[in-house]
Amino acid sequence: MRWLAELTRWEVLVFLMALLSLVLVQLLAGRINTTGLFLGRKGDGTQYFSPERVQLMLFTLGFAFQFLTGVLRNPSKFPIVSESWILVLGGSHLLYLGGKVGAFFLGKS
Amino acid sequence: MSYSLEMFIGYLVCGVVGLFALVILWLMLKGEINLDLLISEKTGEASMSRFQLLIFTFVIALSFFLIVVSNAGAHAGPAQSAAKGGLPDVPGGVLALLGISASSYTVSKAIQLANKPDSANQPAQPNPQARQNG
Repeated sequence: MRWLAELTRWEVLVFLMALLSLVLVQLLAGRINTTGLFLGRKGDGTQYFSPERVQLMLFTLGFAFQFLTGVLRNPSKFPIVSESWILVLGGSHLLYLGGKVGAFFLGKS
Repeated sequence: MSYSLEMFIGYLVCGVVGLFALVILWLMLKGEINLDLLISEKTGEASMSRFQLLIFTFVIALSFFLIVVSNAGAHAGPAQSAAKGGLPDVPGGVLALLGISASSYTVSKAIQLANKPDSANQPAQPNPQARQNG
């Protein structure tokens, strides 16, 4: 049973890492389309540079880094996500969605 | 069920799952599973909501795996099975964050649908330049 558990462990690890590297390499190489990642679209169809998207990306990457370091520091359980982090990330998402809705109505008027 | 049959089934399932994983990775490498529009909308524009959902998915999957492995190792005695750790509890905070991420994606899609010009209905072609690079 020990060998089976070890085999399963390596199998999942290799698959996850291979998948992660594949997506990362294709993102960096430009094969996965990232055109317009920071651009929003108004209601009339025109595009604009969207700071709300930039802040969402920064907060998401920051949280991902903090969460993963928390897991690596103590891998016996999920790290406690403080209420402030939830508020910050929730606010960031609200800002992003608010920007999207705002641009929609701005373009219409 | 006898121990040897249990082991046989265990190795068989492990082998089949591993084979599936290899096939999926191979098809992705060959480009038959096309990842060009992984974080893009039908219009061909990249979407931040898809991107953040992708990051969250990877982070939670990796964390879950690390925790399961760590618990399995901690519970395995010298002559004990290594699979006694079980699945970890997912705290409310993590669920809340996943909920925020997924619902943000859903709301974003709804806004896009409301905002969609008629021409945006056409599905985008994969990036031809990216194809050449690959």
